[in-house]
Amino acid sequence: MSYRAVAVQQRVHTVSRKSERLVNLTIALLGTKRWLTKAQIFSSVDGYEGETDAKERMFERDKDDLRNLGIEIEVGSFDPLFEDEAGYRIRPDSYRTDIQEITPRELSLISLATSIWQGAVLNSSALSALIKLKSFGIESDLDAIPAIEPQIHVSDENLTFIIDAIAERRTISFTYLAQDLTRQERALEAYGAGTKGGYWYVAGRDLDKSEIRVFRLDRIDSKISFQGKSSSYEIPQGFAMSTHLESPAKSQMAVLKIRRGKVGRIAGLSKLIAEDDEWLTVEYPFHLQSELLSDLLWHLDDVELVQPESARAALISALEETAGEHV
Amino acid sequence: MSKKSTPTEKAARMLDLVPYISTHQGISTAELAAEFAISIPELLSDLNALWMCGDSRFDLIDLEFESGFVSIRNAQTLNQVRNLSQQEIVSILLGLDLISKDLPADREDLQEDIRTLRKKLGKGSELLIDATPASKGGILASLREALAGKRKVKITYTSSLSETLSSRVVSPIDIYTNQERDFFVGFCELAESQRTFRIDRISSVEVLELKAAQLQSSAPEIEMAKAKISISRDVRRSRESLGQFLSGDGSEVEVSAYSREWLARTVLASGGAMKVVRPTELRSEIAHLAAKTLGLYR
Repeated sequence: MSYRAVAVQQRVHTVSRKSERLVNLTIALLGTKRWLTKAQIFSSVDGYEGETDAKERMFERDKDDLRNLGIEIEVGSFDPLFEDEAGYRIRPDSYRTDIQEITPRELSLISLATSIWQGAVLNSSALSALIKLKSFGIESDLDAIPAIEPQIHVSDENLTFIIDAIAERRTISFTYLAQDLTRQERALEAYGAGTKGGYWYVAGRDLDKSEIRVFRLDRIDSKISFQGKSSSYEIPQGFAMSTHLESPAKSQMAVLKIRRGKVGRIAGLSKLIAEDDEWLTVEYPFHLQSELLSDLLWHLDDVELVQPESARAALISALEETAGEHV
Repeated sequence: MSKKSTPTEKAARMLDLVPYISTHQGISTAELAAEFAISIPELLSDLNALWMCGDSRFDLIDLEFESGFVSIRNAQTLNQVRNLSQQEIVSILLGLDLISKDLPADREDLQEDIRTLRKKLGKGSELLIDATPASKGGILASLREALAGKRKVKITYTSSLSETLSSRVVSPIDIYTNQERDFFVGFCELAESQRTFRIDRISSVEVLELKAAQLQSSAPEIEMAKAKISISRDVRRSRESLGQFLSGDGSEVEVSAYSREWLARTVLASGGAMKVVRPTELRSEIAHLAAKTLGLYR
């Protein structure tokens, strides 16, 4: 008993730092069955010192800090019929995760999923998520998982703002580099985010165009900023990011002559319709003429564009332009 | 570990330490610090701070860690796993999506596990997130295995110049990341010299039983192909196609690339949007290539 009292004395003496005050405040508000008034908080939680004004300011900041950690402090009243003094508490079921259980295999998958972020922008979130789930106290079953090692290299801080915006349904704005490299101000209700082919994208309703648009993160030329409040829009039912990252349908068909043994990638995507000793004639599906021309020009005289006629004419004039500019 | 944590981050860690220690009673301080990715002194400072917290002055958290092993009692209030933040959930959802697109075809069982888990964690938000890996994950894992085990690999590679597929036996030297892309460096037996391969262009890897040739990573003496290029239209697309090799703002840029042929083809593929201002030799090479290609159409 006396040992305990000494220990308590030592402990109380040093409680003054902010992190300890935040933890103590959490314990007090989480452990209480009743609402606690500010006065009760200031007298029972160590670390609130100084004049009432100073304590109140401290408390306001602490509430914000806890909210940023995902800990919601509920404000209520002792007697709803009267303008009573406000009371505070943290509801255990909002503090605690509602995940009931995790199987060993699931934990292994989560370990692998979080390890992907090493060195990338969400690394610390991935780490803290894993720690929380490991706290269920189950062993992972790593043997169940094959040796795969996907990697994520995104270091763009804007991704974290986008994730927050989607979670909070908060409108964002940013500067975007247009095709001609002009900088455009965009305002967006972000719905989803994702990666494909090494690039990151955000999709949502463009407030100027009033339609769903997709933006590439590396073309965003400013820090993303938030506009307005949380819950300012709804994400449409059934919105799926995957549909917006699908490659556009290749609805047009070109006829090409490919030099035998060359241009492997294009030949692999084509259908052979005729061949002789030197040339293969193939059908090659494409989406945009500009992409087709750029693809084919890369291969110089190893491929000839036969049809469509208009694309052939455009390719010839592009070559003439390049030849003319480099005389 | 690199930067000092803020009081709020420290508080979050203290809260998360409680349930973690509760289910890992007797864990060593070294192991616990590693799990939380902090240094041992930082962990001890967290534990000391936690030791001074409690419901009231007579109901403090009982924490024992002086022996080098950590145990906890009397922490009922905090002994619960905290809610996951949206960023934490998204980090897992994205990771799971990448894994699911990387799994071998015969692992439908794991696909099912991932679908269940994504629903359990996402609660509807899993559809808002979609990730497809830039390269097959099994490839990077095999390359790392070969590098660590000093074994040769047989790779199928699509060259970026001719876009033709080749099969090569390579002794691994290094794997690195530049501009958010992965590269594999090795001594290529086909080319009989050191080569750098973009990992997203490798379509298969077979780790061979053969021991890798003893090699040092040596920066090969590469003469960079330099040029000044003027862009007349499609500026964003043109700049992006020059990628990491570009410097300068707007439409007048300097380029320093590994390969002159790559540079020439990039200019031709721009369809007239790019013009090489100098050097003269590159200008005449491009004029020659354009005329030669035009020959097909006359």
